[in-house]
Amino acid sequence: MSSRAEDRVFARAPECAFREIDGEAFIVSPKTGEAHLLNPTGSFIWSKLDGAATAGMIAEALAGEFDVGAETALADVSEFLDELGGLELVAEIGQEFNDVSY
Amino acid sequence: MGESEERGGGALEAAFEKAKRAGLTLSAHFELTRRCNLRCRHCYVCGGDERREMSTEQVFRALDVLADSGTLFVTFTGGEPLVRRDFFEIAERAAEKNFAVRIFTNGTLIDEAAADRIAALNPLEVGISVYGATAETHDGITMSPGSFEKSVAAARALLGRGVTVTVKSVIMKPNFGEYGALIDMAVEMGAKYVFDATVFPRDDGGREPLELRLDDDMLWETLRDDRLTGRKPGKPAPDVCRGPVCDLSTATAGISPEGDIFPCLQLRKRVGNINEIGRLGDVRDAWMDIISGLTRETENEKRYNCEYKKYCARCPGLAELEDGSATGPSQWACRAARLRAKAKME
Repeated sequence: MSSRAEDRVFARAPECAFREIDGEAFIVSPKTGEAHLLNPTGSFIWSKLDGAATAGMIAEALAGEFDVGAETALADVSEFLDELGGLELVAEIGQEFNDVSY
Repeated sequence: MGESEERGGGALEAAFEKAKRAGLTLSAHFELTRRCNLRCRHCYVCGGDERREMSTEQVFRALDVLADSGTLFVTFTGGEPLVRRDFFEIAERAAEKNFAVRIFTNGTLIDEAAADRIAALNPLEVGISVYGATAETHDGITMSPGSFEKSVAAARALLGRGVTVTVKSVIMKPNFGEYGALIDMAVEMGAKYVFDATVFPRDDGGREPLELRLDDDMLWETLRDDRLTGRKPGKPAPDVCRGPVCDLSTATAGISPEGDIFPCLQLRKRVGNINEIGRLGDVRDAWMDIISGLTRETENEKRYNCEYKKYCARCPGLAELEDGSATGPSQWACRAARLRAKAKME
């Protein structure tokens, strides 16, 4: 697995239920029983998690959409995806197969 | 930037508020059938004609409409939803469409294989109806020998597969003496529990179930039981008043086996049919007219604005079925409100 931040690929946890409400992603995890309402930037990132886009590609799209620098966007995307990983809402492709919970 | 804005119960409440403002229906209770394999003495559901139920394809299309309308939570209920031969096709389609799926069932049709299929759906919750801590009491209410054993086995099978299970019960005269033991049993199994003492007339107007309602002394006892009220030691009980029409809004919906859309399954005021629309927004105006009309008429109802108002948890559907008007007084709500006020004063 690549260790470069921009090459990391994440996928939504398959059990998560989600909808967009008025432009914001609302996610429910049956596994943890928790609900999460993401803000607009978080929702934008969530919408890009198709299991193929790299963090770098998502950061580039984010920079275009929200007028932030490429470096800042990548740092923010990486931090956010790690946070979602901690909440068991996403898994990093290449790692999830070692995790029996997915 | 980007981090979770809200988590847990706060996120749920925030999402429902957003949905209300945006006119979205976040949650739907989908009555897949009125048929049932049990004959519960208190059940309000009547009839059950398979020929009038939506076909599998129609239910699939209804799920498409709900998904396109922004609905996230879908609760499959009945009758007994698992009597439908296509239940798993429907539930699996709902999971594929990223719904948060809840199933309300009596559990008697859930064997080990069915438990596997349910667990694979990753449901948010499976609510299993249990009406006593013993087979004698439960089976006496369901009128179905052996049902207690099957329901409890289903709960254990699902819990063993990591599914969140809620033991759901109605506290009535025949099981009043066992509700404490039933709470203990649910906790011991690792299940949640939701108990209610509200018994509805049958939806054809039949009043036989009302004879099972708790008397005042029994109801008084349940209203003072912290395990039922959710009251924490040293804290007041949570407020019960949810306004003149409870929390009716377009954020929640009831869908009948025929596809009729209601503001709630307890309030059978039809706003349209899901087979005839593209999105729930298509019937929003009719829907809002019903809710705003009920709200206005109830607020203007002199007897609603009584001294017990803040203890009143009136259900417009129950008021209509039992007392003849969705906006008038509800004898059950009035009785419970008076006892809640008394409990508060103690």
